[in-house]
Amino acid sequence: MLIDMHTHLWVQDGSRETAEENKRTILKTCENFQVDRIYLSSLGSYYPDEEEIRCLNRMTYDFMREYPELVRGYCYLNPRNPDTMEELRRGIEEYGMSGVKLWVATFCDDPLVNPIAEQCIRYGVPLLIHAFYKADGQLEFESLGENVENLANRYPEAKLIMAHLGANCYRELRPVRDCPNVWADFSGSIFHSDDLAYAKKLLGAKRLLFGTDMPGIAFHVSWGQWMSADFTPEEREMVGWKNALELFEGGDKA
Amino acid sequence: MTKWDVNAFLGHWPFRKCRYTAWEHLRGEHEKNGISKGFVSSVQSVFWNDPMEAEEELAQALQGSGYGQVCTANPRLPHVDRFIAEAVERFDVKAVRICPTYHGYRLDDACLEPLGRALVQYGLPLYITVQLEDPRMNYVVSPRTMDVEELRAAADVFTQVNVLYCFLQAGDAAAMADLINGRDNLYVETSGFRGPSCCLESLLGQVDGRKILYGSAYTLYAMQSSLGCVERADVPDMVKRQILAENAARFFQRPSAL
Repeated sequence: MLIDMHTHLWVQDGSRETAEENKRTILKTCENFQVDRIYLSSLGSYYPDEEEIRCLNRMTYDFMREYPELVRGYCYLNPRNPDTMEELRRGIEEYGMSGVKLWVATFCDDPLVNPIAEQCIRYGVPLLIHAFYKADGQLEFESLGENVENLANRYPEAKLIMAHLGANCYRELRPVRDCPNVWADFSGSIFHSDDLAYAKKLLGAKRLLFGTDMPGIAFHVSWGQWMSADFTPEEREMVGWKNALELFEGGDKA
Repeated sequence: MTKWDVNAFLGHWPFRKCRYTAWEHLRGEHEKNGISKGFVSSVQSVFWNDPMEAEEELAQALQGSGYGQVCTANPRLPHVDRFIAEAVERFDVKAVRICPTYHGYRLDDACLEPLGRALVQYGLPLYITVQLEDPRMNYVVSPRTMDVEELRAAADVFTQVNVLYCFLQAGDAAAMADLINGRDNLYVETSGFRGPSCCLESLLGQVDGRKILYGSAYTLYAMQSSLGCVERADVPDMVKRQILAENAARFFQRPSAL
C-alpha cells in the first residue's frame, strides 16, 4: 500500500484548465506507481480571499466525490478571511475532508490560527502546514520550523504536519524534534540522499510521512527518496502508509 | 537493459553531514539498481584549493572498477591546461567538469580558452555544472546562478567537443531545445529533472531523446529519484535504452587526439 498525503490541484490565473490537467496527471501517476490514496488540497494565489477559498475547496470536494476511494481532501484556509471558521466547518462537516491545509497567508503560529487549531483538535483532524526555508526569496509569511514549534507547544493536543521537512531539514527539523505532536512529510523538490536518514534520526520513522507535492513536483522525486532510504521494511511501510493511516483515520469523516 | 550513470560523485559535501560518500556506497547503490558503469567526479575537487589532491583520492577509489573519472577543473587556477594534461596522463580521465558558479567566472570568460584548447587536444567532453545545490538551501555560501542565456552562449564557446549540461532542470532544457537538437555536440543529463510530473515525457516532445543521458548525482542525491524519472516514464523502451546507456556511449566516443 502507498499513501501520498501531500498533493495538489492548482488554479493559475483564475483558470481551472491547469487543475483539470493536474487531475489527469495525478490519476495517471497513481496508476503507474500504484498509489492507493492521496490527500489533496487545491491552491491558487498566495493570499486568497473568501471566494477563492470557497472555489478551491469546492474543487477538492468535487475530486473527492469523483474518486472517493482514492482522493481525500484538506480544507484549505486563509486565517485572515472573516469566514474562515465557517469554511472550516463546511470542509470537515459537509465535505467530509480529512484535515486542514495552511499555506503562506500567515505564519502558522499567528494568533489568527488559534481558533483553527482549537477546532481541529475538537474535530480530531491534522493541520498540514507549509514550512519552507529559503536562503533567498522567503515569502513574507512563509512558516519555518520555529513557527511550527510555537504552534505545537501552544496546542500539544493538535496534530501538526510540517511539510517538505521544512525544505532545509538540517535547519528546520531541530525546532520540532521534541514536539511529539509534529509529524513531517518529505514532499517537494529537495531530494538529498541523506535527508531521510537525518529525518529518521531526529524524529523517528513513526513521525515521517510519504508525500510528493505532485503534480507540481514529479512523483518520482519523493518516491525515489523513500525507495532509496535506509529504512527497515517495517519502517518503509510505516512511512509509506501506516503513519498516515493512523494520523488521519481518527479524524476521517468521509 | 544496460544502464550507465554519467553524473555520479564521491566525497563530502561541505555544508551537511553526508552519509554516503565512499566507493562502496556508490557501487552498492548502482548494483542494487542494475547500473553497470558510472562516470564519477570528486565533490572535494570543487572546493579544495588544490583539486589534484582530490583527483588522486578519486582515482584511488575508482581503481580497477572500470568506472570513468571525470576531473573537475578550475580555469581560474594557474595552468588549467597542465592540470588536464596531468589528469589525462595519471588517471585517464574521460571528461572534464567545470563549476562556474562556485569558481567565479562566466561561461564566456577568457579564462576558459586554455581549457577549451586542452579539451580539443585530448578529445575530452565537457561537463558544465549548472548547480550542485538548490539555491534556496545555500545559506552558508551562495554561489551565483546561471541563466539559460549564459548556458546557450556556452554552446558557441565549446563547439569542437561534446558538452553535457549537468543539473539542468527539465524546463530549462526545454528552453534550450532548439540548440540541443540543432548542435550535434550538446547533451543534457537527468539529475535535475524534478518537476513537474511527467517532465521527461514532456521534454521528449521537444528535445531529441538521443540527447538525454541518465545521471543520478548520487552520492549527493537519491539515486532512485532520478532513475524513477526514466524507468517509470511513459515512453517506449527504445527511448529508455537510449537515455540509460546508448546515448552515453556515443557521448564518450573520443575523437582522434591531436
